[in-house]
Amino acid sequence: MRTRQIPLLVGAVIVGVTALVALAAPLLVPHDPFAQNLAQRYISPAWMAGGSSEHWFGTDGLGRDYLSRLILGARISMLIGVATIILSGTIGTVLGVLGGYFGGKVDAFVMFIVSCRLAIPLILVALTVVFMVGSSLTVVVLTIGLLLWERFAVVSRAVTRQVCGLDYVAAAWAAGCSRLWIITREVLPNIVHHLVVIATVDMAIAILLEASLSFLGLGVPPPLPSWGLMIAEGKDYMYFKPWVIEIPGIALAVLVLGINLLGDGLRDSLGANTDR
Amino acid sequence: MVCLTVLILSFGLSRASGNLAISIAGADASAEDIAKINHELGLDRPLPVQFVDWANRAAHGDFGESFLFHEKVSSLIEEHLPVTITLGLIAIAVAVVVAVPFGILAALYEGTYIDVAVGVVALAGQAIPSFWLGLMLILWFGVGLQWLPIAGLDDWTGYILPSIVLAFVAIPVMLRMTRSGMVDAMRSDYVRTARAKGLARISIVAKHALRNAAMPVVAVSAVQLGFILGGSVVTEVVFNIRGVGYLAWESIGKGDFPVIQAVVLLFSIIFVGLTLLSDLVGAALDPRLRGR
Amino acid sequence: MSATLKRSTNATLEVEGLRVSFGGMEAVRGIDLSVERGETHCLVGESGCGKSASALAIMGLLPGGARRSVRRLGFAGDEIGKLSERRMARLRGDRIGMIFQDPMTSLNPAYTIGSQMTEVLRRHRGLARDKAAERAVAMLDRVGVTAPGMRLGQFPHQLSGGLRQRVMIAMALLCEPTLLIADEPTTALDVTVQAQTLRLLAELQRELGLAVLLITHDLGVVARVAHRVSVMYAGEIVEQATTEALFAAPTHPYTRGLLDAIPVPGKVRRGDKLGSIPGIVPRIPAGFVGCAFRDRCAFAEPVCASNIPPQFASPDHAYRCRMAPDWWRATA
Ligand SMILES: Nc1ncnc2c1ncn2[C@@H]1O[C@H](COP(=O)(O)OP(=O)(O)OP(=O)(O)O)[C@@H](O)[C@H]1O
Ligand code: SF4
Ligand SMILES: [Mg+2]
Repeated sequence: MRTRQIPLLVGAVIVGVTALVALAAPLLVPHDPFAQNLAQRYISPAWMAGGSSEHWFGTDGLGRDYLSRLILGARISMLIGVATIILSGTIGTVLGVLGGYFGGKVDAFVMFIVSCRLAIPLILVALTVVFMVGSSLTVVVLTIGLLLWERFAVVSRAVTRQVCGLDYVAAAWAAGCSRLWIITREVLPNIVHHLVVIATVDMAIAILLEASLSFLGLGVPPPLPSWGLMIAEGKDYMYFKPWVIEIPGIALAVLVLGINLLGDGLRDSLGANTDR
Repeated sequence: MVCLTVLILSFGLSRASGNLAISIAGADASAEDIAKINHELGLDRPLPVQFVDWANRAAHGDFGESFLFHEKVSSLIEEHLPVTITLGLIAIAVAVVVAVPFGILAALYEGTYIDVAVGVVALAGQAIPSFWLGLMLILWFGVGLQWLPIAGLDDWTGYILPSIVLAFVAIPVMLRMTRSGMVDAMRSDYVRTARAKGLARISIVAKHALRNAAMPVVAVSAVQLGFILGGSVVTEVVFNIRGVGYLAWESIGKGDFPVIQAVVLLFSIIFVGLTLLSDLVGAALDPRLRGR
Repeated sequence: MSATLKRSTNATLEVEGLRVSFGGMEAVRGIDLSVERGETHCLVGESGCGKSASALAIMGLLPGGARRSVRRLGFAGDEIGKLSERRMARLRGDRIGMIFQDPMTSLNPAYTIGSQMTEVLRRHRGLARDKAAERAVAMLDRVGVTAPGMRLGQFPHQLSGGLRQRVMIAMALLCEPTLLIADEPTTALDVTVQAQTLRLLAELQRELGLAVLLITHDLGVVARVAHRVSVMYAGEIVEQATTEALFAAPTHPYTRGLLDAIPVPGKVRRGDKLGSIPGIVPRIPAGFVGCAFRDRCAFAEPVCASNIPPQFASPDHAYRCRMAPDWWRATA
């Protein structure tokens, strides 16, 4: 029992610490993350030859403090993750509950747009949209949020159908309770734990997607320090200073791993079966 | 039906911004220039007319001419598609070859450290951004060890790293599916029957359990191939491979809408086709669904 | 010692001191039983009392997480309790056959009947595919499957429940085993099909001289086919006797509860379910002492919480209760 909860704990700690860092970013940064100093380009991190405790994680190609940028990057990643799942979670849950509750044509329509959404190549469309509208943090959040709702829709639809088949819901229905009452009182409480698990899955995907977009140059615009963008900026120099891409890459992987561990642990302990 | 909607979407998507001509002619182009370009491209006609015209020609494989390359879009795609498809197929094969045996291993040693280790590796695989994995592989195998080329597809060694990166997209999902399918199968009544018949362990695992566990995995690999192709843009950019994904990325950066439309549509159609294929394969493998 | 009888040592199956535990819970708590050639021994009891666990333990088929210990596990004169999994697998399907409760899930949906039947013969007899198919057809014919040749090419989902159970029976008998263990083979079937299947089993047993360990919770089945009966409660055999003796003089309060305390033998009709006794079978932790039935028993006394030795109502009839052998005659 105990050992099975270790992943959940590790995940919770990673996500918790990142969230704290994100919240307190302005207080934590040792330097101004945007202050350039061309005389101090590509200083190595403190643990490597040529590094100094002045810049623990070194500096980037414009002489900006890497640790400070990494810390602000955590804020961007968490912001992207949370904001997009709020948006996509709302869209997906509304669609899924409507489809699952009303069935028939409504359901067919919901399933239809879900399959349309699945057929769309995610990255290409996101890139195109960001290109056309112009890149900014808001645009990236909106784009990803508007594209990533299908998992919420599929799961909430399935669970809603299941809940509506239960006796006590039928009883509430027979007792003349209004639709809104049934949905808010009977359906939603039964799907929240599934939604929480989906939220972790989609948050991880959203963060990775943002990093990919930023890496391809159509995500968060410079000089904002998105981790994906930091990797893109360091790419040309990686043959000489591999740590410029290693540090943000590891940060990204650890955060996403933490979210996945948290989600997996929650799935087990909340008993939500959201496989497939 | 889905295809039609995606058709409309991909058209709408690329026409949503009205100042297409500006992006081609440059921000300081004169009004006449813009009008001229608009007229040349047929962009001054009403949108529905443009759409019907485009869709009609698209249905015949004619996506017009690239604004940038001044080449027919269809021939551009024809030129770039084989590389992407080849990489995708190699990647899905790699994914199956890695995911299925490790999924079986984890299932047979369910609850042991082997199982936990495989699970953690799968989770970690899901957490690593593919562009970063690509860069790191380039650093290790291309630059550090100098075993493999760092970009391009000059000979077969060039395919190795990109297909590993692409396979990573599908491995975690397929691994988990294999594992959970195998765990269920090993607990099933029919496996108990097989044991009661005194069959050798190898035929219990390989014949009775694996067949049932593998059916959904094989079926889903078609869908996973769709996701792999959808994600090819990142990998192709990292490895500088001139596939459709790279073509699309270049076109997006320069607002070459005929190409973008065509690629988005192409990927959507391929995905829908692969989903269909997946259902068909699933039905063909499962005797209960066969012949219905 | 549990409430069982020492018998001749040439029985086909002899079990002594069989225990099965899941975690800290004991599902089977030291049972003894034996089945002779040509005999049907019925194991009856409520759901969860450990019948399946006993059968699977004898077969060496317990799921992971279960622990088995056994003092003696004799099969046809050999001790098989310490055999390796490989040696045990050689016995299963060859000299010991087993049939399960649910024919709908016990056959592999992905393979044809023919494939699943012939693999038994190929494994244990080394027969070639066509020879094995011949034998399979003959056996299907024997168990009353119509059009047996065609069945080989069919998949399980194409057959009815009754037919599938016949296929399971045929499969278990392909290598002419000496012992057949049947775990509620008719519970999942329609009533009419149940009767047919039981008749078939009885016939086959007579014809092949099988030793049969039949698990059931249907007292009608017991009355009709059993030679001996073991009544199981909470992992123990609480009463064991010949069928006549048991129905004539059910002595353990639990057995009497099952029979709804009908004092006159022969009044149990086919299809009668176990009589309903208030309460449920308790789960027994390791180290439990005393009669496990005491919290449901109308005659429980403080002494029932201490170790209860087995008693004999007749040389052929053992039970495990503090009460005298003829106590119930006074209350009847
Ligand atoms: N895999 C398992 N893990 C944990 N406990 C188990 C497992 N299988 C059986 N048990 C426990 O062992 C006890 C005996 O179960 P068993 O299946 O032998 O009952 P049974 O007499 O066959 O009942 P039924 O008539 O329902 O088949 C039960 O209390 C059950 O909870
Ligand atoms: S030993 Fe006591 S509790 Fe158990 S059955 Fe006999 S009288 Fe009842
Ligand atoms: Mg049972």
